[in-house]
Amino acid sequence: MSKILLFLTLFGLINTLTGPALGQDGNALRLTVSQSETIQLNLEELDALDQIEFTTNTIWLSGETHFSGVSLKALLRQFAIKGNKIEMTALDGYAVSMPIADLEDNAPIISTRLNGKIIPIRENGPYWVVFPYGSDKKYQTEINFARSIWQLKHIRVMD
Amino acid sequence: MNDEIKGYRFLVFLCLCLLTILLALMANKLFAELQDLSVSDGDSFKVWHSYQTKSQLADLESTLTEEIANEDFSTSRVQESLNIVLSKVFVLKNDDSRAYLWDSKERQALLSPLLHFETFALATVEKPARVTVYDLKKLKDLLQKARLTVDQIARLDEELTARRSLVLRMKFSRQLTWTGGFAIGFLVMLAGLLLVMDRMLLSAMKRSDALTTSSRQLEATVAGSMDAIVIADGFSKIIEYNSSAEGVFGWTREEIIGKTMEEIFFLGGLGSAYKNAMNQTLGRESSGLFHPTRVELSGKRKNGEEFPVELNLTFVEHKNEAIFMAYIRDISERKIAEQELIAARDRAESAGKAKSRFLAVMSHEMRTPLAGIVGVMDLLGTTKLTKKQIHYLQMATSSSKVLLDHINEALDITRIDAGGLEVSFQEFDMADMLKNLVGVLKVLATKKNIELRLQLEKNTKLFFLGDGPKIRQILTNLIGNAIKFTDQGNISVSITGIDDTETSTVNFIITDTGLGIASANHEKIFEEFIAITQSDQNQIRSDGMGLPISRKIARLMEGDIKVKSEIGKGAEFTLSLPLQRVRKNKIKVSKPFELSKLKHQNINALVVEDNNINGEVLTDMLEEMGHSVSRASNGLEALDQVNIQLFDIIFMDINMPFMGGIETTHRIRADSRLNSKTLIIGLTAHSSDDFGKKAEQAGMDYFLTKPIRLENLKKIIFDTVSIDQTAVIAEYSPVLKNLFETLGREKVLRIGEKFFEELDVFIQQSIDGLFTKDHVALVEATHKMKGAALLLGQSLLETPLDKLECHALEGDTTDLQISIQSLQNVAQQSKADFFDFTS
Repeated sequence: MSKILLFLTLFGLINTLTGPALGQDGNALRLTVSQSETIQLNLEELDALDQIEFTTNTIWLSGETHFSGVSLKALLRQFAIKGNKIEMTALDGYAVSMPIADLEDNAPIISTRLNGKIIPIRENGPYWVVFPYGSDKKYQTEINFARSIWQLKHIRVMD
Repeated sequence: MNDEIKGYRFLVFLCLCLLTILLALMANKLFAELQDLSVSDGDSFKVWHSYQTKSQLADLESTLTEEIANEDFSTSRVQESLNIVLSKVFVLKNDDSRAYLWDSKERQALLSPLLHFETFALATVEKPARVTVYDLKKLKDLLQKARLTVDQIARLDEELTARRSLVLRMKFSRQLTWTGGFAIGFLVMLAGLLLVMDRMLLSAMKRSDALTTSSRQLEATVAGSMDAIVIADGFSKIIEYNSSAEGVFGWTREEIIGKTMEEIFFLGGLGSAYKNAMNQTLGRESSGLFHPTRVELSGKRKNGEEFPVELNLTFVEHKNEAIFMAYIRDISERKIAEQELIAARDRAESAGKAKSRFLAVMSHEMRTPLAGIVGVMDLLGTTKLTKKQIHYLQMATSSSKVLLDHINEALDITRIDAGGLEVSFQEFDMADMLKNLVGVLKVLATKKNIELRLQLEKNTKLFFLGDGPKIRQILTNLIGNAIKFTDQGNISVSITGIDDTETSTVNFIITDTGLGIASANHEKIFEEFIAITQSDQNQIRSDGMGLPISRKIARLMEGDIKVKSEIGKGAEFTLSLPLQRVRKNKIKVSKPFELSKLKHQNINALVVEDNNINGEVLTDMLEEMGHSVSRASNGLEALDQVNIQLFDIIFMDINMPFMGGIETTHRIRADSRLNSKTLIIGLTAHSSDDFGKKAEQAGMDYFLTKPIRLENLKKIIFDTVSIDQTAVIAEYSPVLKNLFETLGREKVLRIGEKFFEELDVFIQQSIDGLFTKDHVALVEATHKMKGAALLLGQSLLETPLDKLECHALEGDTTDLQISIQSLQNVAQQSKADFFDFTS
C-alpha cells in the first residue's frame, strides 16, 4: 500500500513537472492549487487513485444508478492541498463553491463511471461530482444538489 | 384508605407516562417533518435546470446562427456545444418525476420536438464526415421547436414545485398545530396537576395541623384525666402512664415505663380484660358501635397493697402492633360505700322481716284468745238472757268480729308481703261459686233493701282451673263493699270475657248505685292503711284492708282490679283474671259415710285441742247440740283415744305440743283400726291456705279456721251429715230427698213428725170406730192421708190407704177392720223407716 502511495506521489510530482504536456488533453480535469500551479489529471490518473463506488437514486436519473470514482477529499489530500474552499466549474460554465471542511472521506466523489461505463459529455460526463443521496437524508439538500456538479472540468482551491 | 391512595398514585403515574410518550411521539413526528422539510427533493433545482436548459438551447441557437454565417466553422466547436446541450436533454428526458403531471400523450407531444432535435443532434455529433451548413440549419430549425417545449416544461416544473412546497408547508403547519395544541394541553394539565398538588399540600398541612392539635389535646386529656390512664403494647409493656396513675399506683412515670402491666395489676382478670378489649374492637369494626365494658379487678400499689379498681381496656391495632389503653379508677371508697349500703339494706330488711314476723306472731297469738271469747259469747247466747243482755252480747260479738277481721287482714297483708301467699289451682264451677256467693250476700243486701242481681250467661256454666277460694274472697270483698256503700238502688254482678279459648281473661264486674268515688281517689283506695274521708262526713270507704288485699291477691294471680266511678254516680269494680278452662264436666263427690254412723242423731265426737278454753268452748257447743264429746289435749292423747273407741267425727287442732294435728291425722288414717275412716275436721288459728294442702294430704276431710262460731259448727255438722244423709234418703225415697232439698231437714222432720202424729190419731180413731157410721168422712180422711203420705214419699203407705179408701166406699165393715189393721202395721214400719233415715 505504502509503495503504491509512494509511487503515486512520485507519479504526481512527475506529472506536475511534466504538466503542460498532459494539459493538452481535452478530457483532463484541471486542479488549480494556487494562482501559478495547475495540475491536469486524466482518466487513467484518476483511476489509479483509490476508487469509491455506490448505488443511489438521484433526482436527475430515473431508477438507481451505480457511480464509481475518486473521493474529492482524498484527491485534495493526495496533492497535500491546503485551503478553505474549492470552486468547481463545469463545461457549460456552471460554477459552485464548497468549503473544504464540508468534504467527507467518501462524499462527494468525482464519479468517472456511471453503471460501470465511462460517462460521455452528453450524459453529464466525463466527471460528475455526486453524493450517496440514498444513504443519508443529509445529502438530499439544495446545497448538495447544487454542489453535485457535472461535466466538471476545473477545481480551484482558494484560501 | 392507603390502598386507595396507592391506586390513585398509580393512575396518575400511568397518565403521566402516557402523556410523555405521546409528547415524545409528537416531537419525533415534528422533527421528522422538519427534517423532511430540510431535505430537498430537488424541485427548485429542476426548475433551475429547466431554465438552464432553455438558456443553453438559446446559446446553442445563437452559436448555430453564428456558425451558419461563418463559412468556415469548426466542427469540433459545434460538437462540443451540442454535447453540452445533449447532456441537458439527457437529464430532462430521464427525469420521470414529472410523469404524474402529464399523461403519456401530452408528454410525448411535449417531448417529441425535443427528441427529434436530440436524435438529429446525436447524429450530427457522431457524424464521421464534416458537418455541413445544411446540418446546422436543420439543427437550428429543430432547436427552435424544442425550445418552445422546454419553455413549457420549465413552466410546468415551476408550477409543480410551487404546489409541492405548499403541500409540504401545510403538512408541517398541521403537524405544528397538533404538536402545539398537544403541548398546550399538556401545559394546562400540568398546571391543573400543580393546582391539585397545591390543594393536597394545603389539606396535608391542615391535617397535620389537626393532627398536632388532636395529639396535643390527647396529651392534655391523658395528663389531665382524673382517671388513671395506662397504655401498654401488645406484650403488656407499659409505654404511657399519666399523673393520675402515679397517684393511684404509687409508681412514678419514670419507674413504671418499660415494666409490664402485671406490675400494677393482679393477674386474675387481666387476661379476660384483654380478651374483652379485643372483642370490643372487633364489635366496633363489625357494627360501628363502641360499647365500653367496665371490668372490676384488683390493682396492686407500689407498696404491695391490693385495692379494687374499675378498668376499661380498649384495644387498637396499628400496623400489626397492638396497643392497649387502660382507663383505671380506684373504687376502694365506692366499694366501702357499697358494702355499707348493702349492710344497711340487710339491716333494714331484717328489721322489716322481724316486724312482719312480730305482726304475724302477734296476730296469731291474739286470735287464740279471741276465738275463746267469741266461742264463750256464742255459748252465752244459748243460755237464758234478758233482752238487754242479748243486746250487749250482740254488741260484744260484732266488736269481736270486727277485731277478728282486722287481725285476719293484718295477717293477710303480712303474708302477701312476705310472699307466703301461694296460688293453688283447682278445678271449680264458676256458676256454682257465684250463685252460692251471691246467695250468701243477698241476705246482707236484703237487709238494706237493695237488690243484688247476678247476671250469668249460659256459657258461664263452665269449669275453670284457678284458685276458687281466693277468687271468692276477692268477690266477697267487692260485693260486700258495694252493699256497704250503697243505700238505695241495686248491685249487679256480671261476667264477661269468657270465650272458647283455652285461657281467657275473665272480667267480674260489680256495679253499684252507691256514693261513688272521686277519680282522684281511684288509686288511693287500693293503698294500704288509707281510708278515704270527706270533710263533712267521717270515713266513707272505710274498707280497711279489704281492697288492697284483694288487689294484691288478684295481681298474684296475674290479674288486676280496676275501678270506674264518679261521685254520686255509683261505682264499677272490675276484677280481671286469666283463667284456664277445664273441658271435662267433672263433679266432685263427697265421700259417703257409713250409714250406721249417721243413723244416730247424737254423734260421738273427739275434740283434740291444746288450748283449754277453746277446747272447752268447742266441747260445750257440741254437748249443747246433744252430742257426746271426748277430749284430748295433744296428738298423743288423741291416738290413745282413737284406739279405745269409735268416733263419728274428730276435731283436730293443727298446732299442738308433742304431736301436731297433721301428724296425728296421718297416723289415724294409716294405723287406727277403729277410726281410720272417721271424719276428721282440722282446726287452725291460721288462715286455711297455710295448712290446707298439708291437711288434705294428711287425710283431713274438712278444714276450719278458728274461732268456730256455734252457728258454723251446727251447719258443718248438719252439712257433713245431711249431704251424706241425702244420698241415703234418696235410696229410701227420691220424693223425700227433694223435700229435704227444698224445705231443709228441720222442716221436713217437723212435717214428718206432724204427719205420723196425725196418722196415729187417724188409725186410733178408725179402731175406736169413729168412722163406722160416717163412711164419707172416712173416705175423705183416707184420701187426705194418702196425699200427705205421697208428699212425704211414704209409698209404703200407699197400698193399705188405697185398700182402706176402697173398702170405705164399699161400706164393708169387716174388710174395713182388716184394712185398718194392716194400715196400722205398715204405718209403724213406715214411721220407723222415716225417722231411721232422716235422723
